[in-house]
Amino acid sequence: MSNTNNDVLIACEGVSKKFCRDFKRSLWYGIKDVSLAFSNKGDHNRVLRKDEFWAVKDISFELRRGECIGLIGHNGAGKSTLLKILNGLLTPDVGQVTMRGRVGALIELGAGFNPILTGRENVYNNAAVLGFTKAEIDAKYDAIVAFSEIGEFIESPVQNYSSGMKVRLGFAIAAEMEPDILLIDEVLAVGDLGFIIKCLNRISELMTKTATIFVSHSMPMVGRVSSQVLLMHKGEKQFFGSDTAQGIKEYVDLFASPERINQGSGDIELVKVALYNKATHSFVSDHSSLLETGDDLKLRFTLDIKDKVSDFNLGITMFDAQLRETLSSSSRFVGKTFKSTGAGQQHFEITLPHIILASGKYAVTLVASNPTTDRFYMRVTNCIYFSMKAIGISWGTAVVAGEWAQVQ
Amino acid sequence: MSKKQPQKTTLINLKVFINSPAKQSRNVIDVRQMFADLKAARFLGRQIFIRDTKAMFRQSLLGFAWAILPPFLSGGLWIFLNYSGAVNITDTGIPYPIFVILGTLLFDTFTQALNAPSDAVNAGKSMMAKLNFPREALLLTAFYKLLFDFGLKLLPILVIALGLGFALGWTALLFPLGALVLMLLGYGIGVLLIPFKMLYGDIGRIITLGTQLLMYATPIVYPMPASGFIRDFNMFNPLYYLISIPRDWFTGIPVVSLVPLWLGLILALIILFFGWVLYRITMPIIIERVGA
Repeated sequence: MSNTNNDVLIACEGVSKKFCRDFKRSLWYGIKDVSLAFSNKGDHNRVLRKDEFWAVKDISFELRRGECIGLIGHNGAGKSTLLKILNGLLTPDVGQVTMRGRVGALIELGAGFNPILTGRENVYNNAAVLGFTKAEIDAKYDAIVAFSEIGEFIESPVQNYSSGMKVRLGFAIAAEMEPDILLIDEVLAVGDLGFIIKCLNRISELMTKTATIFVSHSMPMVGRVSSQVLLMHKGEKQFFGSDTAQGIKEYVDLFASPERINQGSGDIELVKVALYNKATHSFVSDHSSLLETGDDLKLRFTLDIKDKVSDFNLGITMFDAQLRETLSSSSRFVGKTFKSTGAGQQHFEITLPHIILASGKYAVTLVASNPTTDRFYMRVTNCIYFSMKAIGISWGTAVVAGEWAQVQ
Repeated sequence: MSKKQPQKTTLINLKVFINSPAKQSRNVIDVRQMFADLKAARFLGRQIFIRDTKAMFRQSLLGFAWAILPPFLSGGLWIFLNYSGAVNITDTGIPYPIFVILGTLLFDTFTQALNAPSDAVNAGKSMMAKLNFPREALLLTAFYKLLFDFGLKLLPILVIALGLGFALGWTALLFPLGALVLMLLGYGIGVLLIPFKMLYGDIGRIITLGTQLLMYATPIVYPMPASGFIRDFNMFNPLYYLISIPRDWFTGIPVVSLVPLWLGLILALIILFFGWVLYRITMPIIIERVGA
């Protein structure tokens, strides 16, 4: 049975799909397409007519049982369209999709729910939409209710449920499918953390037996579950491969870096900030610094300090591209409070030794605060960026070499 | 928390689904595939019907009354108009209340049948845009609803007929069958119209307007005139036959010829089949444009 793990369950060959920007014209094309479907003449499939564009262009991949593709890209990149083609909801204009086995779609959780009916009744409705038979639902009903943790509310109308509860019930039903192919489209946005973890565990469990396509904007989740990443940009394949960290990096690079944000009372202002650049052996302010695992991070900055400030603490925080806070330091940690030498510009330097952050782009936030009240005199978010190149590919937040040895 | 699942089947047993440009996908109009899909849709169709019906009655005070009232109200209106002398309707051969209530009930069944398929598809549009399920389920839901509504109306009509001291003959048993043919004709046209109604809102309005005109052009609240334009028109109006034959059955008037009924049935089935084929071909194209 071990060779079943090598079954190609999804084969996507040169799939393209076009849409029309203009709604009325789209309807007219629709009617033309309908009539063309009957005749043998004419073929608009490969050319773009007026106002048309490729929503999905020439996407090819194969997916075997046990593998998972993380499908990423920003809004409108064509992810959901591709998913709909895989699910058979849309017909491709060019190319072909071959799907083997039962398809489970964790896409529209709770489809077919009627708000007036009770949770129990809606389990049957939703499960029927997902393709369960009556007998299957009867057999799985208890497991569904148990997984959803809805408890006695299962007999209340679904309109009394919170949005989280609806998603719980919807997921619980969908998760009871035993699919060969699993399509997941950004379904865990609501629901509390405990349930998200529970869902992720269930998905991981299902994934060992299925070929999975996972669409999400949450890169930590993509990094966690995917064996490959397909990055789509304007309908086209921008990156495809098993180097998930690289794929996610390219995704993040598609976005412009956020602007600097100034907060705080304004009694201290940031004048200049620069990072040490190993390549040029100098301090640079143009975000070009590249660090490698184990390098020291050196930051110099100039502050303009007003009269009334007598003493203050300094702090620094790094955020990765997913806005995770990955590293913090503060003069307070070492019991150091700075005294103002009088109004005007003053210079500072901080060294963070042996940086072990994972590869990626990091944003620095600088903070100056009142030591007694902890109020911010200054808080500058995204004041400077730097890039990190770790010794290995990893989805962890920190990457270290480690001292490896075999022991008796 | 996970339970052991049986080892998955091998590749050979897996259902293969191929999605490729429309012209290549033959099985959309493969008759065997069509009926296989219809069979697969039965449970879901029934489930959606039960869901809608339950929800409808749970959220209303009068419940079943809403299914029954409209044709009886419009029937009652005509009875009032006739007896008050506002309109003068020639002798129908049977008590006028029975005549007009049967007529309006049958016509109401027809217009409902005309609209039910597109209503059901519209209601399921967002579901269709996101999930793959047998599309026939929505058509079945509409048909179940029609049967259910008709069944509901049958009961009070019996009560009224018996209450008026009307003796029902054995032919009254044929009444539902005649009504079924009428229903199938409306339903078939309704299915055929789904794609057009979904693409352009105008179609729905034309149908509403058209059925209102048709109601007065067809001998429903008045008997067939002995001569004139109305008579000439209705000689070719299938609705006239499909309404008058069941009505005559119910009231025990001898039916001259069953040929129009059989023709009506054949016509209904042909339209229904083509509507079904068109539905299967056009639905993916339409859903991608107006869905979600």
